[in-house]
Amino acid sequence: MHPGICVFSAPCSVFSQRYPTRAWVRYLFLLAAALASLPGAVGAAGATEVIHIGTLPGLRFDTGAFSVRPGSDVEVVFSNYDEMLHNFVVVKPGSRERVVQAALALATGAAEKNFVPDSPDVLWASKVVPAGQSVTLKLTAPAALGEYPYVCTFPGHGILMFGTMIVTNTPQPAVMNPVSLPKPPARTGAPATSPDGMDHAQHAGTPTAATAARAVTMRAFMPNSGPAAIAVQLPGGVSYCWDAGAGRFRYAWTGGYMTMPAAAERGLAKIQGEVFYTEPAYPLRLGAAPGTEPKQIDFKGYTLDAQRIPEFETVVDGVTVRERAEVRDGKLVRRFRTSGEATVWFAIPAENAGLDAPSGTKAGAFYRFAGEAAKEFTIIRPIPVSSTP
Amino acid sequence: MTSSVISFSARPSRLPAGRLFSVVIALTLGAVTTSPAHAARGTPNRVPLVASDAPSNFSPYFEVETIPLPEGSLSVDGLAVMPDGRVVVTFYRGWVCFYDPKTKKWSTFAEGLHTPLGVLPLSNRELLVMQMPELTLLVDTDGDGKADRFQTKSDHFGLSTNYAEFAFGPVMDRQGNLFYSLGTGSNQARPMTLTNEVRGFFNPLGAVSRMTSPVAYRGWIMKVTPDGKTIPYACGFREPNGLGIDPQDRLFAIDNQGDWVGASALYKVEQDHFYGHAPDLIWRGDFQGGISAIDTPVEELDRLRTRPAVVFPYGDMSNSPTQPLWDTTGGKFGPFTGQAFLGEMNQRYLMRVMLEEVDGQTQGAVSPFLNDPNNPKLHRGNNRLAYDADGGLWVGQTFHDAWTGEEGLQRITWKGVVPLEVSAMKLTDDGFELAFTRPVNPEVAGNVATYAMKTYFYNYHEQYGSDKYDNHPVGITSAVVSADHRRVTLHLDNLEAWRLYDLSLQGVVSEDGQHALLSPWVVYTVNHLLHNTPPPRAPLPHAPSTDRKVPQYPTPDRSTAGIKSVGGPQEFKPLPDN
Repeated sequence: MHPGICVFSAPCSVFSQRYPTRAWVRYLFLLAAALASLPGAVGAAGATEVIHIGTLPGLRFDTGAFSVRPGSDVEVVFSNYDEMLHNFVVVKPGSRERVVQAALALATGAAEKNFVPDSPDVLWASKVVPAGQSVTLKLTAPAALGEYPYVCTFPGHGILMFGTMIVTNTPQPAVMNPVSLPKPPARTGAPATSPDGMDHAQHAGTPTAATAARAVTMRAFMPNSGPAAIAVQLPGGVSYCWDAGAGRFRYAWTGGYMTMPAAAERGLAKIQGEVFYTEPAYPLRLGAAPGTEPKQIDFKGYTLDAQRIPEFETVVDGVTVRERAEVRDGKLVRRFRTSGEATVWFAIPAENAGLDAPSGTKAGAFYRFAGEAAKEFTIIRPIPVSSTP
Repeated sequence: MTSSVISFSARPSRLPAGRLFSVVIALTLGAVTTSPAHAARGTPNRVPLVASDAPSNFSPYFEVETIPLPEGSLSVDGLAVMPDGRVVVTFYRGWVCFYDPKTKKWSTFAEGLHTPLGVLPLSNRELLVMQMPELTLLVDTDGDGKADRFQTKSDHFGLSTNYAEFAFGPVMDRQGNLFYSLGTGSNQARPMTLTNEVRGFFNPLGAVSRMTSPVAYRGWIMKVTPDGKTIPYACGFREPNGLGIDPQDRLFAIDNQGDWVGASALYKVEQDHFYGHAPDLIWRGDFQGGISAIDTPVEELDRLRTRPAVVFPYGDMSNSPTQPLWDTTGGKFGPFTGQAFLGEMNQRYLMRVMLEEVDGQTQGAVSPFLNDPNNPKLHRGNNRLAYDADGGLWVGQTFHDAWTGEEGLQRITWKGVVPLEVSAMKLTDDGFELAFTRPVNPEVAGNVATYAMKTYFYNYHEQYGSDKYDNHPVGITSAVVSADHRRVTLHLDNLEAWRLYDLSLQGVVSEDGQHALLSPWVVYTVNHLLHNTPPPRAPLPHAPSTDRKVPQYPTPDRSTAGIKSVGGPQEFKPLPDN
């Protein structure tokens, strides 16, 4: 819960709906203050204005702009919710970049100075605020109307982390979206094309996903998978998730590929389409009887063929197992290759509509592959027609 | 080559956009009242708004060339020079690309990697790349210039989808051992893990402190032997974004200021040593007692830890140091053979480290390198360094996902003129001996007024970072210039172990008057004295300065409920839920 805007000096936590309430209450307050100060009082308003400003991840203040009346007493409660250190410095109009540069040039003793340069441009400055703490900055708003930037002058932050204190006689709601709102991250959305492109121009949900000539293999944090996940987009309109930590196939979907989070490690990729098949557990058993799941599955990597379709390699209790998937005749065809086992079993999932194993024999809850078939076999799963582009 | 203009404009940024931010109520609130500041001081601005084409103070000696990156703005997460002279870059967005300095063209070797923060070429067709989930060997088997085999070399460590669980490296020693380092997860990530599946055994006793180690070997440096075995090598790191091997084949790593790390530092890494970040100890055999390592008294943790070889003055010189790279160019990069250069994320300069052996321990000094605040030529975000065969130093810059840097690729070359710099700072019985790259003017160098020295220390505690404790000036009783005018011995009032000594030198010029000292600032970390080093002082109780409150961390959830461990290291037995 955010502290919200407090019109009184006592701590107040009644405003739980963060942004709308803050803006609304601030507006009311400013309006009230304006009314109270009538007639004709341009100078000090009766009560102290309390402005709460916090931080957001990625070098941003949570408040991009707020307004105060000229000459009013203002308390800025600056709370650092971020993991980094930040300060809060109010500077003269138009001087933000100059102050940021001067802060960078402080060199020796910068930390003692809280990264605040000795500059006439600096009007008010807080100390450096560690994570999870707050400081209160008391100031009297300038008499001169105008836009006074506030900025964090910690090295490297000031380019992005700033906002505007508007000194005005016209009350206005605070702007919660920072003015320094960054541009969309490059890795967001469909995988981008690298220099001399590797045929990655497929965009999620577009027909090219189905007609692409080559596969795309990308590692990312995926939903419903372990962290060492790999997302494969196959020519033919099917994508699947393979979990390198568990050493197994997780699920497949039709439609588009996926969109990446803003930052590769700060979110899950989002699949663009409909999951039509999920494999609940490791499927293979090696040996004369199906027995229990393998004890040790080591991921060894993958190779790409001419179509850049990956074949994954694992060592399962000492046996090398290779697994590859492709789309053929409207079906998802998974090929397994193993080394040195006379019999291999494939556990049939409970949800198994249309599942087929041409070279295997059904034995209870398993397909059984023996002899040559144990060295190479396929598991075939129809792709739902309704979802096939 | 000409150096290009570096303009200070708002950089295109890459920031996490949509993550819902849950807010913790701030506890507080020490009111800090400030009044309108500096109204009458009128200090002129020393820094132009836009860095100009004007030469830097180092321009007579070094040139900085900026290499255009592939289309779009990209963060250089990894960098190396190939045997054939091409430069390989791993980009934050998962690409591995080559830059050919001859044709000035970019090409792609591989795509789809997960936060590849390091690359080490084994041949022109084989690259080791450190990704978040594993160390991978990328091979171009058919010679078409693209990787077609992605072979997992080492993934024997836990991963929980916490964004801060970065992996850095690898570096290789002369025996062919590889080393990589694993960052700890952030307790302030929301949620702490993105999924309920983790790789490796999940131990909630490691999910403590600001930065956490709930899955195996977070905060460790790992060794991969030539026969492929992965060995947990040393621990106690927080976010060790930078490994290096020195010319004596010794392993070094940096760490970043934070919980248990008073200030960012450079460490000499030895097997089985512990370097201070306590939560990581949960994965060590002798800390399997069912209590969290951070419940161990700080005095005991302090006795266990190995101190850094060089501490970087936090804030004023360095916030986030990065990769150390030793100058092995044999003089092609100037008079710094055997010294190390380090990147710095927040500053538009590199750092130069001079090490020595004192009383059997490695320690030394650090000085900014190519620091001209009036006319900087380097970007911020200096993350990776690599020498080419001509002794050119490539610098890769990253912004990553908000690391306060910038994005770019630059190449620094030495022009053949020896700059005036401190080339060594050595501890003596009662002070320091400075060596210079050129003979210096003896009147200036022999005058004690040329020097100003202060000393302080950083404390060891769980809280984020440390203040400078007992920070006070040190009197210099005499400055004695050697007969060849290349050395100055400073005798101090008092010299103590386990402290930083911060020296500034004003007005030092070469004997011929042609060269001013480029970097008038050197800071030496005195751990040991030449003889009779006293034991280190015990950690002080954390004494926050008046405006600081003890940070509160989310109460760690010490149960494994809801967390499923699949694959990865499982050799640690689950502890009973408490």
